[in-house]
Amino acid sequence: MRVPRPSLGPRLYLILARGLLPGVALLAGCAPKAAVKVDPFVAKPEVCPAAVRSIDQVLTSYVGRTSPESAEAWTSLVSQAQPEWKAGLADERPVPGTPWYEYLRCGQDFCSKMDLVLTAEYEKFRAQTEVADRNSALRHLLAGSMAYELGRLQEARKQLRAAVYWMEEVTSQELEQRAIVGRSDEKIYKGDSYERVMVHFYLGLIAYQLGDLPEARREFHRAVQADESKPAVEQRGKFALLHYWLGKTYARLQDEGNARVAMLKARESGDAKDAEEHFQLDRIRQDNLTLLIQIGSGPVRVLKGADWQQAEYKPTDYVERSCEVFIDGQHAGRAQLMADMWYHASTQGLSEEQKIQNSKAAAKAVLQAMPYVNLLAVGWDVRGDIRSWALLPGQILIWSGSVAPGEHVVTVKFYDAQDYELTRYRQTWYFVPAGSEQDTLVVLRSARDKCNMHGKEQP
Amino acid sequence: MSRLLPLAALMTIVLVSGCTSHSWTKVQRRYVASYSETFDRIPVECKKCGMSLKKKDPEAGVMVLNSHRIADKLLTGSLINMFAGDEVIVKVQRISPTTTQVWIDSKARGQIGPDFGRTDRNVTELAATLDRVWAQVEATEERGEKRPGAASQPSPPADSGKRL
Repeated sequence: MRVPRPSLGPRLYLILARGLLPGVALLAGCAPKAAVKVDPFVAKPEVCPAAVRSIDQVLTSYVGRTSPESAEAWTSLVSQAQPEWKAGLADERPVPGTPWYEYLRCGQDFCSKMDLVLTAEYEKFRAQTEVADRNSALRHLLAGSMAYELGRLQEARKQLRAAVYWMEEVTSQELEQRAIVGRSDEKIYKGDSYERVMVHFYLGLIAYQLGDLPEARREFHRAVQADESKPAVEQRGKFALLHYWLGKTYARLQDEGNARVAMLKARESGDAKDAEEHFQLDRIRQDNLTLLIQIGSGPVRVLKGADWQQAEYKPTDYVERSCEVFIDGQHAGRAQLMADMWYHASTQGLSEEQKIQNSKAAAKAVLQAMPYVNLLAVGWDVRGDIRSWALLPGQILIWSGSVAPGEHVVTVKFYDAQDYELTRYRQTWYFVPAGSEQDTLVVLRSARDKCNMHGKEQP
Repeated sequence: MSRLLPLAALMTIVLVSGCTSHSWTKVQRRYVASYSETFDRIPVECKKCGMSLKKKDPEAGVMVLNSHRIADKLLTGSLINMFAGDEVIVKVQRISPTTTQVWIDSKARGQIGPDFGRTDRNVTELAATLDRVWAQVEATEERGEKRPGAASQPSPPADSGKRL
């Protein structure tokens, strides 16, 4: 007796429905989207709080933290800070433009929710830097960028130096060979030329902020050398930002001749036409306060090509376009664009690696079209290398001026493409010192809600 | 005939070269999420749209996902692809400590010729799934505020560095 075969019809419909319906529903936009929760914005007051200790007292305590007789003063200062953000700051030299410095000066916590998120992220990345593999340089770069954004200069310097070690000194022939045949990101991450430039540039800035001028000069020199090694010959040495800072460092080292040459090179670079007024030796000697403002996000590398064989740079959209500086509430001018990361990434030229990737993709395409051989070709992964230093800013702007000696409240207002103010991006920093002889550098990075005091309002 | 064979073989190679199936759709989204949160959640959330994590490199900002062979993705028009499956790549970039940008692309492994929108669907499905997890922010959505008392926006003087 024949057993009747069960009908496939209903089951087939069920299988198709289970497979198709979720996709159709998603495409039709039926799925509810997450709602945006926006915290209220409470601007940081533009009136400076009363100082409870002077900058000299803070720096004396900091410098004396290593000696047994003075260590107690520093320990008692640190122990009163909020536990969420004081960790890791005990050995950091307080620098203007950070909540840590302000806390030490006035005893009030102006740390925003954004700073706490960044601190937590940084701790995660720092824990990962213990691992040594082909991506070690990237881990150190990310941790270094975050540490620098948090004002932890010593930690940032340590991380960026470790990144330089991986980018410039470590090689693995085995991984290099694997990358030539297979996936391009198998090799140790070395960064593109503009990334190698930027890591030395930041090391130079940190040394400059810490007052270590010979070290700053060495690092800015290395940045210039890294720029000279980019594939596009006609673009070599055209990085005004580097020459400007090298010139500034020479000027502070009383090396007038080299400072003049650096300024000339900055003018001839041609990538910072808006900032040409800064490339004057007299101006550098006269100005005693400099703000370096980083805005937006740098370009990102994405895959392209039929086999994802090429990695191409893509600019990142960001809303802030310009910024103005106010000193003690008085308009002090607009910051000038000195470096655009998208410009430098997109003009650095085609590397040897990109040519190899094109050849690999062409060979794979031919193999895939051949009968039987294509079975092997499918498994051949020729993906390009899309690793990049994700935390570089989009643009670097400079404001410098000669202000009355003493301490000031610095407010930076950011504007969009229509020149409307982005209120939530506004930053205010207290107790910014300006000396009569030496230059004070404050490094800032734009971010929404960076100075949002929501949750810290006065009753 | 003997002359035509190599020519035909060459023509075939030329025609199919570069035709490896690849999604036309590439989605870019900006979410209210921290960088590490994105890397923690995407491997979990991708399972809801029939994908699984193949590899993740948080330091490089890259995640590679495998798309599973569910019913409507089974008949791919390519025997090799039926086994090899599709790949989805997710590039993550930190915009600010609380905002992350995600770029999604998909590729059919071992498939030469059209995939009838399957890889595009991989991209849109993953994007739609992530849209339900985090709120989206667009760079162009944010509008600045007009300066008080100004009918039109004046261009501020470029008097950087004046003596105060």
